[in-house]
Amino acid sequence: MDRNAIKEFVSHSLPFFSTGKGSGRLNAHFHWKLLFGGFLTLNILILLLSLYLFLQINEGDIFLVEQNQEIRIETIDRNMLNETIAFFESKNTRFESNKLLPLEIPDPSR
Amino acid sequence: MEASKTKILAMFAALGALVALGIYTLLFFEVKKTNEAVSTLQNQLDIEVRQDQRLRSMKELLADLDEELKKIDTYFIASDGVVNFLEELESFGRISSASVEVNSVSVEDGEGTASLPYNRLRIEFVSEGSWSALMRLISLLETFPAGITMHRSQLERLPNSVLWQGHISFTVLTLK
Repeated sequence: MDRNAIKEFVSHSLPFFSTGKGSGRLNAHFHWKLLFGGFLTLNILILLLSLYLFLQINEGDIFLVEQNQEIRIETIDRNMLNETIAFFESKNTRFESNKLLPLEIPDPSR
Repeated sequence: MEASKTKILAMFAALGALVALGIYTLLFFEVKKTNEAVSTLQNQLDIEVRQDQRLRSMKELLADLDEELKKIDTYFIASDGVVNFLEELESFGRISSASVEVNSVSVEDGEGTASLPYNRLRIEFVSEGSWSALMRLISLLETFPAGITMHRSQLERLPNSVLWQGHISFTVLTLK
């Protein structure tokens, strides 16, 4: 493909870059307006996005890492402890009474 | 000439916009990375603070329950109290008028006991005496205030005798 063919292709497919012939040049004003409007919109969007990012970062509400580590410290269940002590105390009472009073269970072989 | 100058300007503007976009993207990811690192550090700090708070409250709880904990410790056989416990077992024999002959003493290796503060000590013994003596012995053992679990209690009458023989095995909790 030679140089003229490339020029021809660009002129037809991208009128804005045309070298002066046809409607591209006539619409130059419109194209500049289009470009200006587009960039203005983009800049406003970027400005808004930047402002949003700044505010979010300032508040500390963005790009947060989830906390998935759990803290596990075995604790003592006071009620269970008291129940266990009460259980052993009642066992002790029965033990003391067993020591003093012998059981009266008849011999099954007699 | 005019058109070519305009084109060059447009090209530079587009190139500048592309470079600005690239820098913006780079800075965006840099800010994101830094913010995530800050967030991770904040999480770690939060975990440390919470852990510290829980440990403090645990310390306070332990101090508060000191009396109860000392009390419950007395219901476990101390790690160096196995001989005393065996003597106690023999004294049960004397109280109930039955002989007590300890055959074996071993520590049970159950699953998950490594993390527990106690061991299970398995004791097997043979006892001889009258029926009521053996009953009293077993009753004393069962009601002894310690973590005792009876496993086997086999009683047989001795041939041509009024006496009975008991094969008894149980586990008792001992502190590590």
